[in-house]
Amino acid sequence: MLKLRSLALAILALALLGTAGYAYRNPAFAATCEAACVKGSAWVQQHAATAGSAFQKSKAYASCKDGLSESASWRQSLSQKLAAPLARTKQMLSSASAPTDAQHRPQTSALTAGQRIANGHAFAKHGHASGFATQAQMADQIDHIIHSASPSNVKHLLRGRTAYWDERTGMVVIVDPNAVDGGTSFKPDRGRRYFEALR
Amino acid sequence: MQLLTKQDDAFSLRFTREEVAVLCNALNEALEALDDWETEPRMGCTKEEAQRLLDELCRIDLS
Repeated sequence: MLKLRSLALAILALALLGTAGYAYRNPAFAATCEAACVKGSAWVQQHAATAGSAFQKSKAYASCKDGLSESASWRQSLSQKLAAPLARTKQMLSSASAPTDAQHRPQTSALTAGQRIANGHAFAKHGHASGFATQAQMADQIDHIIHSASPSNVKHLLRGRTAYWDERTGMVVIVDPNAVDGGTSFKPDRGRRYFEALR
Repeated sequence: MQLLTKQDDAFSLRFTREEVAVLCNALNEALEALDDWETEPRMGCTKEEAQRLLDELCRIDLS
């Protein structure tokens, strides 16, 4: 079926092309074609109104009109039915996006470097050995070391890490923004020698 | 790391900046973690030898 249609279209296109080509080469034929077209268009214009009124009187036109009006009323009733569930869904979505108590808790980024380190593994592993009774004490000491360190006691390491050395307590603090705990802190047995070898 | 040449007991190696840093840190942590008596059995060298190697590596300017 598709092949037949393609063949017919190809024949029609070739015929039109041939006619156009012949009209281009032969002015007399072109004039005949033009006259035929003018006559044809006048006939179409003359009968268009009659054909339109005849179509409006036909059963097909009435059926289309009924279908369109039914569709409009169906759309209206559907939107009325969906209005209530839609409003409920919107309300649920807005309450879900509202901040909860958990979201009001301090975020990790709001903690100081000392708090992040002391709240991580460092306190359990090194806290008591370093002389701290609580995580808060350790956090305060780490923050103090970070803020009071002289330039000679600060080393910028690879991958954004920073090491601090505290001569008074013998503590090293390594701040690592890539680590889950934000770094670590402890008292190395080899003291400053350990700090100096950090890279 | 890339092995460039090997002659008897001598090797020529090429390290990136980060690789040298990792070697330094690994030696530093090993020296920190191991007790004196256990360093030689576990590392195959004394603490002093490991420290000397670390000092040599630390002389490389990584900046």
